[in-house]
Formats: sequence, structure tokens, C-alpha cells
Amino acid sequence: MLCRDQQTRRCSQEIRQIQAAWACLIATFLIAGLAQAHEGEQQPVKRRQQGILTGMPFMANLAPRTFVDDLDRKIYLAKAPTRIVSLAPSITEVLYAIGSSEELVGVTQYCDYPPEARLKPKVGYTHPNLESIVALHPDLVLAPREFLRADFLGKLEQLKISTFIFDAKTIEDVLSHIQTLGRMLGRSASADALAAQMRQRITEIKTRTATLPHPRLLYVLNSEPLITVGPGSFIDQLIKLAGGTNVAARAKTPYPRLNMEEVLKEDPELLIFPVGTAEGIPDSEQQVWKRWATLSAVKHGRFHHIPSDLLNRPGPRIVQGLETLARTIHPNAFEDKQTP
Amino acid sequence: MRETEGLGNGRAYRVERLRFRYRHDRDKQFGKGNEWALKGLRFEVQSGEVLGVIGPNGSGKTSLLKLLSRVLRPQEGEIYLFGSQLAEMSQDAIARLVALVPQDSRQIFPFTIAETVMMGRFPHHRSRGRLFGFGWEGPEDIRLATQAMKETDVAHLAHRSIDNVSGGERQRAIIARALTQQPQVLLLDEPTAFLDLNHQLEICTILRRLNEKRGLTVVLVSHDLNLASQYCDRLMLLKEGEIFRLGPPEEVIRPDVLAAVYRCEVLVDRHPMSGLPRVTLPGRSPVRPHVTEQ
Amino acid sequence: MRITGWKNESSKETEGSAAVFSVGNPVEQSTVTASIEQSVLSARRWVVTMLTLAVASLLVMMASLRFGAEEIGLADSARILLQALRYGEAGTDSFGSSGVIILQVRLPRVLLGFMVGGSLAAVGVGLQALLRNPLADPYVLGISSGAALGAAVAILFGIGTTVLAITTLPLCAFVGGLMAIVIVYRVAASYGRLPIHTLLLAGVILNAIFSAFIMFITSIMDPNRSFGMMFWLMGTLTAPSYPAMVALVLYLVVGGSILLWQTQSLNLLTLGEESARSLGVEVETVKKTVFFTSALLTGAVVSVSGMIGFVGMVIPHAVRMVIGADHRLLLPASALVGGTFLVAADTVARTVLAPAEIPVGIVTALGGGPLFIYLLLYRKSGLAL
Repeated sequence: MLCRDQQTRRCSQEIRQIQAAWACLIATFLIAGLAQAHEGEQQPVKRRQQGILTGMPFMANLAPRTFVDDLDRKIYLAKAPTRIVSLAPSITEVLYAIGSSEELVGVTQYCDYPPEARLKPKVGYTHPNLESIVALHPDLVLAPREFLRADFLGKLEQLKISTFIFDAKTIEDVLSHIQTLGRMLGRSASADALAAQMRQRITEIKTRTATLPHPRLLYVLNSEPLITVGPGSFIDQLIKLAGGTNVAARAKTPYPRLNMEEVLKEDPELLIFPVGTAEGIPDSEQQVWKRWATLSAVKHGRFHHIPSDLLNRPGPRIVQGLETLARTIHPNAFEDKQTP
Repeated sequence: MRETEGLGNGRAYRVERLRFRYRHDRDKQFGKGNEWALKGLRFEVQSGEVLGVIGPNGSGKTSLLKLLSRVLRPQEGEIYLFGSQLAEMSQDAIARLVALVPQDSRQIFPFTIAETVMMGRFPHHRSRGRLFGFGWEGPEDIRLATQAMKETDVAHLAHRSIDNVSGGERQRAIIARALTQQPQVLLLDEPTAFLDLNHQLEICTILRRLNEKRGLTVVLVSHDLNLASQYCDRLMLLKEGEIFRLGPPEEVIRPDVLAAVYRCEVLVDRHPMSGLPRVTLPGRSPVRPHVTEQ
Repeated sequence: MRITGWKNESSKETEGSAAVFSVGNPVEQSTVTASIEQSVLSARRWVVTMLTLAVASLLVMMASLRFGAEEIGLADSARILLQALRYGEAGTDSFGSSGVIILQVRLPRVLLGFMVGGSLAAVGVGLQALLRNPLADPYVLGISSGAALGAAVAILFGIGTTVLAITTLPLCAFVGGLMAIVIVYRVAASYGRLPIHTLLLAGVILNAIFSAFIMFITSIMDPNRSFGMMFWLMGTLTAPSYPAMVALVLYLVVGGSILLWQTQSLNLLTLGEESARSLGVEVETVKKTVFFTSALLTGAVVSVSGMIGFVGMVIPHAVRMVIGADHRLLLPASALVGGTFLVAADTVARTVLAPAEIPVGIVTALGGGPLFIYLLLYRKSGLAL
């Protein structure tokens, strides 16, 4: 390589340093990207093993009343906790479903199901307020892996407040979480029953859709820019169970920003939009999609919306979500079924 | 024929009651006004004369030049340029008549010397009605710029970037730019400050020649009293924003006058070749300075 | 002193100078003139450079039509384009999804990328001259964070209507940008003048304040909606509809022309306001024109494509190193180079991890950074940074 005459040796040294720096930077990005993709593959395997053994933690040397969370942290609960703070709407729903609503003393502002949950004191969601939590004197805090900050967790541990972290990546994870919570709170009976019921319904839906053709669909998390669900994400699994084919199957990340060309090429027959409880699909969003007149979904007007809470929350209602999804994809196959 | 002949009755400038100070908006609130840089100046500059403006630092010399080219506007007073009110003229009309050579300015964009000098033709593009003032330099512009660059001896640096030359070369390029404007009045702020002796002589010779052959009016600010004395027809000595003395060098370069303004004793004798007053600082011997008779 | 004519004496003047300085024989004189001619921008050089760059841009754009989720050959693309020109969109049905992809996805995207990149680079040139600061870029005046704030508000409240085939998000962003322009101007201007240092300060502070608002809104936003915000902030060149594109093209062309008109004044403005004034530039008018035009262009571009960094700051430098500082050529040339660069970056962004896309702002930074370092090391920078 050429260098300016005056400072040849120093110049080439500098160039080498700069090249090394860029190489490191690019390597970091590549490694991070690959690691993330890899992680998505690893986890389901581990969790499925737990599930096969009927959800019991496969650690024979584990003392009773000791539980391991999804960050591999062990907590010991001498007796069932009586003051619980939930930092996720899904967790709140589970607690109500297994009958532990009395013990629930703190929830997030998004905990709206069942409606009674709205009456509980709020402590925040993405940025939970430590002081509010401490003021409630909880003996157990249940938190989701997302939005968890290391310093927040550290603070809770420092204050000797037992914290249990949930990270549900698969449907089986959700079921095992329900059962774990049941054991932690002394409600194994209702929890196991709920999990069994859910499993049964899921299997039913799966069998029913297995024989049907799986239409192609696009699940639109966001229209502009286009963000959808890909392999490794929760909703992608639900789509498969509900008997659909995700057109983003070729993507490499769980929440890819998809190129419109791929959509045009794969030609989904259905467009599914997650929406809040009160609205339908916003007008502007429909307009955006109606432009693409060559899509089968647009030609046949198959724009569907599903309440986003049913699919986003890894809790008891995913079965309803799955049902709604299946019903949307295969309207004929589910005419007789009632949604509770 | 020059467009301004007959205008202003042979006066390039007529200045009345000029008062100026630098504007500091915040001072209004604190109640203290800052000092007036110029306090009620009144003078004339004859067309075709070389006027030197001298005085200590802070006497208002640079501000005066900027006011004469309307780079700054005075708070009070009128300035007439060839009979027209300076305040009512458009900026490029002024630029076609008056060129200002500032003290050295740093440049951060890598224009070449040639491009810098060529910028002097800008006010003439407008008047020739080029489309939207986005004009190209024609052969006439190039010829004038080339000539100016040769006169100031920067022609060989034409392709060099302006931040890549010495201070003196940059100064000469700026003078060339001013000459390219083809002005009738040339205002120079310390034009010889960074120049070697040979270039100092060159610049003064050019100015004198342009003045004699074309009647270029020159107003020149300088710290160098001798340069001012040798090359200027009249000198204006400023003290604290007021005119202390205005007249030919013999009337201004006098020890008593200079002592009153500069507050130091100097020797004044005659230049052996020109006979004009020459200032010398007292030497190391404690001998009393004496003034030579006229 | 006698007053003598100026123009009549011009021929005598040349002789006079020759007499004083003995320049030498006429041949030597003309070589000096020739070398000076070469140093200065001529109309011919302008046309040649612009044509070359325009052709190069066109080639890059055509080539980038090839890449995407699948490769569509150049011949096919050309056929589709011609068919569309003659028969309108309906005429391309026979090409199937390829036709739709080229016409509705890639072509608008390439065109948008070119316009956005070109505008950002042109505004960068204008602002670097206006602020006399080589580190200036289109985002330094706070307009972009105003637009980002408008977008954040739109996403937060889920505003969803369509006006004139333009969806609400860009409109809200543009309104945010306009608000920022008004605030910056009111803060910085005094007594009808626009001091540059206060303008820069006002922009920096406004950026900080708006960024704080944006972060606040992002933190209280329903996390499910925050996807859109995050990706918008990193830049997006999704295909707009053709009517919206036409409006945008007109807008950008008008703005760009105004800037182009000011380029000669910009040359002089870089000398400093006082020198520019002494050379006949109406400094305050030029400053205000350049400020408002740049701000309005930035607001529109950011509203449509989010914040794509790097193009507005570095492309002007890179082009200046090669072409020189004369803004009459620098501005339009930077526009063409900026547009081409963004089209190339976007092509990489949508093919590297296909079928997913990387935000284009990441590619411009990762790709342009090393390129700029190369230029700094191996060419005379020519800039006293």
C-alpha cells in the first residue's frame, strides 16, 4: 500500500491499527449476530426436555422448596409467599387463573385481565419503580426476562427480596411456568389441571389442522417499516400449530424487518394484524397494504385482526389466541367450536 | 470615462457626525453602555488621494474602514460615497466602487489562490445580469484576475490552496482580489503587516502607480508611521475615536503631535530621499531628542 | 488628482504592468494565463463533471435494480421498465411478480434513495458553508430531532389517517420539523440578523431537548408499538407510492434549485461575513435563504426516511477533496455522489441478510467510515480541521 513519503513507517503502523480496529468492530457485530441466531436454536431443545418429564425440574439433587428460574438462579421459599408482585401481564393472568389473586399485591399498568387486576397497586412495567415495590413488602417478585436490567435485579437481591425470572420461548415453556408457579404458591392442583387442560386443547387444535392445507400468511407486527415474526419467535410457533405457513420462514431472526419483495414473492393468502382491544385495523394501515394488489390476501380481501394480548402474553390465554388464530386461518374447520 | 466623474464634487467620501460602537445586546439589561468606538467624526476624502489612517490600538481605525465599505453600519451620522448616501446603496453597488482588504483572515475551505482572486469579480457578475447571479467567469474576468495576480506577484501560486501558502502570500492574494474588483476606492487594513521588505515596497509601488495612473482613491490603515508618511498625501491621526489631526505628513508627523497621541517621545527627521518626515524611536543613549527644522 | 477613464485604458494597462515588472515574452504570459484558467471553474468543466457523475449514477441505479430477494436480470428489468412506460402499470402483468417487484418495490426505492441521499449531501454542503464549520451536517440544527419527535407523537397516539396518499407518520414528522425550524429561528435571530454562532448553539440545544422528549415518549409507549419508532430512527427507505414520490420530487427539486442558485454567494460567504459583504454579498439574505431551504429540505427528507446519518457530513468532504471547494460544482456534484452512495448502501442493506433488511443508516456508517478514513490518509485532505 502507498503511504505519504514523509512518515512512511508510522503511517503504515497507523493504517494497521485502524484496520485492526475496524476488523474488531465488524467481528463484534458478526459474532453478536451469529450468537443471537444461535441462541434462538438452542433454547427450545433444553426446555422441551424439561417438558417431557411432565414439567418437573430435572435435578434430582434439588432440595424441596428450591426453584430454579430461567436465568438459572435458585431461590428458596420456606413457605408459599403471601405477598407477590407481578411485573408482567402474562404472569398476572397466570396468578389469577390458578387462584392466587389474593396474594397479588402489585402489578403493572398493562395488567388488565381479568379486569379486577386493574384495581391492584401499580409498580411500572418497562421501568419498574423500585421504591413502590419495596413499599409493598413483597416476599416474591415475578419478572419477565425482557426489560430486566441487571442493576435492578441486583438491587432486589441486595434487599433480600426473592425474585423469580420467567423467559418463555416456547409454548411448552408457558405450560411449565404455570406448573412451576403452582408448586411455588402451593396451588399445584389448580395449576396442573390448568396446564393439562391447555395441553389438551392445543393438541386438539393441532390434530385438527394437521390434515388441512396450510395457507400462507403474513403476521404484520408493524407496517412501516415492515416487521413480522420469524423462526424462533413465540408467535411463529403458534402459527404453525394453528395450521398456517409463515411467509417469513426464510428469515434468520425472531423479529425480522422484512423486505417487501419477499412478501410479494411468497404471496401470502392472509394478512393478520395484531390490534388493541377496542380498535380494528387502522385505515391508514389498510391503505398501505391495499396498494399491493397482486397479493392474494389483497385480492380476496383477507385482512384479519386478532387481539394482540391473546398472542403476546405467554400466559393462560394463549390457547384462546391459538384458537382465534386457527379459526381465522381455517374458518370452515372451526365453525362448531365455541370460544369460552 | 469614469462613472463617478463629477459626482460628489471630486470627493470620494464625505463623512458627517459619524458615531459608532459595537453592538452588544445584553448590555441594555445591565445598564452599562459600552464605549463609543468612533465619536462624531467629520471629514472628507478627495477623489484620487491617498489617505493614511494612523493611531494607537483601539482608536477606531479598523472600524472606520469597515464603516466606509458598509460592512458595519453606524449608529449615527452619514457617509456619502461619490455623492450618494452609503446607507441607501445596495451591497453590490458599493462593492463595484469600494474594495476592502482586511487584516489576515484564516480560511478553512481549500479554495485555490486563483479562485480566491476571481471572487473579486462577483459584484460585476450581478450587474451584467447573469442568470440568478450564478455566473461563469469570462475571458475578461480571467484577464483582470491574471493581471492583478501578476502585479502582486502571486501568479505562480495560482493553483495552490489558500491555506497552504505563507501569511504574506495570502495577504498579497487578498490584495489581488481587491484589485480584481476594479474599484475606485481601495481600503486597506494593515496591508504590509506580514510582508517582507521587497513585497512591502512592491505593494506600495503598485498602490502609488494605480493612484497616479488611474486615480484610484486609497485609504490605508497602518501601524507603520513611516510607510504612511512616505506614501500618503494626507494623514488622519485618530485618538480614542476622534480625529486628532488631519493634514499632510508634515503637519501630523511631529514630535509634539505624536507625543500627545502615543504618549511617548520620538525623533522626527527628514527622509534623505523624499524629504518627507521620518519617525525614529529614541535609541539607547540618554541624549535629549531634538526636532529638525523644516 | 486627475480622473482618468478605467476601461479605455485597459490595453494600456497591460503594457504598463509589463513595463514595470518585465513579465517577459508573450508566450510565457499566456502560459500563466492558461494555468490560472485551469485553476478556476469553467462552465465546460462543470458540464463535463456533472455529465460524468450523472451517467455513473444512472448506471449504479440500473445495477441496483438487479438485487433484492431474488436477482432479476438487467435485460428483464429493462423490458419491464419500457413496457411500463408505454402501457402503464397494467401492461406489465405478464411479467408476474417480477414486474410488481421491479415497478412497485425496487424502482421507487432506488429513486427514493437517490433523492434522499442527494438532498442530504446537498444540504450538508450548504450548511458547512453557512456555518463555516466542516463538522456540520443536516442534523446539527435540530430539525431532524423535531421531525423524530413528531413521528414519536404520532406513534404514541396511534394517529392513523391518510391525507393525499401520504400516510400520517411522515406528515406528523414534517410538522415536527417545521416546529423545530420556527423555534430555532426565533431563538437565534435578533434584530433581523442571523448570527451563526447562536444558530449553531440553538440547534445543539434543541437537539438535546427534543431527544429527551423522544426518549421519554419511547419509555412510556406501549412496548408493542415501539418497533416502529426504533426502526424509524435508524433510517428506512421503504417504497412510497408514486403520487407521493412525485410530490417529493418537486419539493426537493425546488429546494435544491434554490440552494444551487446561492452557491456563488456561498463561495464568498466562506471568506467570512465581513469579507463577503465587502464583495457585494447580501449576507443576511443569503444566510436566511440557505438556512430555511436547508431546514425545509432536511425536514422533508427525515420525515420520509428517518434519520440516515453519515451522508450529509462526509460526502461533501469526500467530494471536496476530489473536485475542489467551488460550491457551484461542489453542491450538485455532492448531490449526485450522495444519491449514488445511498442507493448502493441500500442495495447492500437489503441483500446482505435477505429476506430481512438492515437499517440503511448502519450500512452508510459502516461502509462510509472506512472509505472516508482511506481518503483522509491517502489524499491531501485540504481541510484545516
